[in-house]
Amino acid sequence: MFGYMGRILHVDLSKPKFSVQPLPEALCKQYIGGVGFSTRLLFNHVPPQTHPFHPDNALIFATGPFAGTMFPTGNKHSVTTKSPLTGFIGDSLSGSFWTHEVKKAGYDVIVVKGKAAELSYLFIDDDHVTIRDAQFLKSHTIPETETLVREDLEDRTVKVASIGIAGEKQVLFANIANDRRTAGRTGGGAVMGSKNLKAIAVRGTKTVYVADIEKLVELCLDLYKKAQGPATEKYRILGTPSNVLTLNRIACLPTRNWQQATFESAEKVSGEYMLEHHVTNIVACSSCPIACDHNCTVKQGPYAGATTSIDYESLYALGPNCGIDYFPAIIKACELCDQYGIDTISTGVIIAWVMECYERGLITEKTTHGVEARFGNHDAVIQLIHMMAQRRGFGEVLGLGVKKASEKIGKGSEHFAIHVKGLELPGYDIRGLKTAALGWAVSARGGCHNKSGAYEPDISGEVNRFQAEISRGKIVMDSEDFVCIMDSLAICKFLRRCFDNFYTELAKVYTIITGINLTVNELKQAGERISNLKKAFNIREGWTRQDDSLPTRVMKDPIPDGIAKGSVITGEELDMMLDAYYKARGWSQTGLLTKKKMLELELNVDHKGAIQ
Amino acid sequence: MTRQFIICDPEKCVGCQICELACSARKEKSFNPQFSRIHAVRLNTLVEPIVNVALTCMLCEDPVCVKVCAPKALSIDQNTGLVIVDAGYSGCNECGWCGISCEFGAPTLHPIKRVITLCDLCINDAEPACTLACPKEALSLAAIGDVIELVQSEVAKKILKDFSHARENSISLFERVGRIAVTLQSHRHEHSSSR
Amino acid sequence: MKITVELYGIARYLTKTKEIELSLKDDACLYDLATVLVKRYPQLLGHVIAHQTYMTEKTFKFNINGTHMTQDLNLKLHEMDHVLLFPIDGGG
Repeated sequence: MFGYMGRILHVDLSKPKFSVQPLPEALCKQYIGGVGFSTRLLFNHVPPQTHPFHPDNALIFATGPFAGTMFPTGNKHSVTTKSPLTGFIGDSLSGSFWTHEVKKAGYDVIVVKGKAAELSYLFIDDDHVTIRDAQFLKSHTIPETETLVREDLEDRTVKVASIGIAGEKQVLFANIANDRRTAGRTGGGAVMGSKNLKAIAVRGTKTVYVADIEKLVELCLDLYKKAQGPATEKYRILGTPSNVLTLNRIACLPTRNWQQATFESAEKVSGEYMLEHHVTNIVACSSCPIACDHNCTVKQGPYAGATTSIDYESLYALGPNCGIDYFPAIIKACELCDQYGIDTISTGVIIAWVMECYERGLITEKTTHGVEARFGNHDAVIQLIHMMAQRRGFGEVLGLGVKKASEKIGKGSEHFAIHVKGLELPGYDIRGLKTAALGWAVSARGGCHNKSGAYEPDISGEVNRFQAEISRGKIVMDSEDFVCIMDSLAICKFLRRCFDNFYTELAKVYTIITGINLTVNELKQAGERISNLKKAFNIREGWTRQDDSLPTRVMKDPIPDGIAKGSVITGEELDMMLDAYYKARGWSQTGLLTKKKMLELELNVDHKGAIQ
Repeated sequence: MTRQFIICDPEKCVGCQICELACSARKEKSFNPQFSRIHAVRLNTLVEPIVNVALTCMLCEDPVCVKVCAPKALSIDQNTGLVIVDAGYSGCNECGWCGISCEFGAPTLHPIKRVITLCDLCINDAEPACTLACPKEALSLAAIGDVIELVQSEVAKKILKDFSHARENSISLFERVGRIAVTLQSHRHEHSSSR
Repeated sequence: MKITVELYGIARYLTKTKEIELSLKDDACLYDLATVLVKRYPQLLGHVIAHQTYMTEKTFKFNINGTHMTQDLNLKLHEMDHVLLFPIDGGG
């Protein structure tokens, strides 16, 4: 096989047992790799209605056919599981050196099931797989764990994906990190913790072969050049925090738990400010010619010494959304999240919700165990992170995510719990981005900007962002399918503007690397197939149309400020767009898959709950 | 002719490893960083800024690798200045001393051919694969006289910039490169033979 | 007429300018504005504004008064308009 390693590693931690299954060639063409592979395997290997923390839930790491080659940004993997945060499919992307090492160890996919008796870590050393004791790693942060595992194995070149304390404590939005990159969303780290699995260390020596190396080299050299041009300039220079000032200008920067859409101190938390005061260097993931990772440090003040990588979503969530305009505090907060292993977006949204509860008098210092949780109080942010990541005191409830926490606190706090399907929202005020609002509502993994790029037509002015229209159904569908292909190949979304014709060019690259003929239509259909399978999984787990909803605030409280003032998504608008989306998808009016669509896509979802 | 070799500017290097993959593609028509004659090194500890650099054969005038090679498998090509490896029966015996003694960890044991490989500047091609591919133009061909100024001082400057314990860091940089090149290989060798 | 230009993202980074006021002829269109702009800030060429055509590069658009995105260089401007040089890739 070219491109692929041709092997799936199955790990059963309960027995423990390891087995290697050949990668079926039919799977390659139909599901491409990454998210496609892992969605298919999740559907096949997790019995319906499995509790996310039951040993039968699977944690699936899948690379794509481009990983290990010189294709730019090809070293990415997906982490897929039934999410404890949403109860639906949870998939998140990470990448870099660990991905490459998995491929070199000779695997396309690692499927982890079962539960280890004691805290353990997995060591995959080419064909030799062992489970090792991890008691010595207990309560260690993610960076410490990486170092300690390397010391334990006496090899500093071993690559490690691990969870922090939050994963061990099963904080529902705990994540899994490797080499400064994180599969951040939907709580994969909590599932890993529930399996008593602290880390997966990998060392590989194998070689990745491609079908036509001369053509690939030529094509990659061209893409490397394009990746130094205007297409990626934003990511290379200012990084994604460049968004702060632009979104603020068009009143899309959620501020103080979405009570405003502009932040009066935006300049102080901008990408421009960050570059001038905090960026120490900019580094790349493995095989990436772009290099967007802006490593920031705090040089003085109460948070001196804090250092971590800052991107826009973390910045929004822990900055403007909590009313914080002190950049060093945001760096410190992100550093803590990265050490504990919790999702920065979820963390920031939960803290903002706590702050609003506090300011409205729904909770007091008694509830928060003495934390004066006012907007703008960065000390409160830091204290709450410690509490929720360790599930200590008030943090016990917060560790459940904003949906469940607001249900527990009640008193109308559900109104301003900013989530879709239990997943906290990223930093785009969708009240003034109507296409994105639909995209967020229907997203299989919940409130998310990464599973459909539906904000782009809004922000770029391709459509009138203040207007809900039937045509948005098809736009969101195409955007989701496009993302499924990116996540399955699996390549970085920041490369997307380097292509003139994405599907044509990528179908060609796929054939050059794998030797498997793939037409543009087949590639497009694979995207649609993967989107549909995610939906089928959700339906199997109890999805109904009511789940494709938006936070109450987004539907009831119009934006009070800036040029988007007055914008809101009404129930009628959402219903109209949902109808349009389901119709574009060829689904029933209630949003269920049809037999016709299932046959057309050769989905093979035999569970009867999934189709109508 | 002025002797040249490949140097990396750590101010520009982002640690993407593309040089390794491009080298592997050119020399072995497949992808494996262990086939590469150039090594991307990232120093990434908890408290320091990240240092990225790529290191390969510096074409030393009086190379220590040649001196320590017991079977005398390494020699200098008088025309090109390249260190060439005798892969024959009485040549390289995979002992790895060259890699350990090289300050830059340049000699690498090829995991399949079981022989030391070294950068040959892609001397038969129009341009070295790594300098051609490097997306940040961090790699270039330089003359031997520039070594101290461009390589060592740049690395040192980078490491010295914010930290007082620079000496420890610079040692760990070279130590780590050495490990990547050789120690891991010998470890693997033991490991696979003991299975 | 007086037009205020606001620069965002890379446009602001390259010019080190947040905002400038330009005086244009009374029936000026966006093309006239782009011409004046690249004369003053040639560093925008090839990054934000394309060589020769003066269209925006594909990661940028002109935004009129914060509400209307356009690439139409023939668009007539009005006194006191705010023209934003605005990046369109929202990805974070």
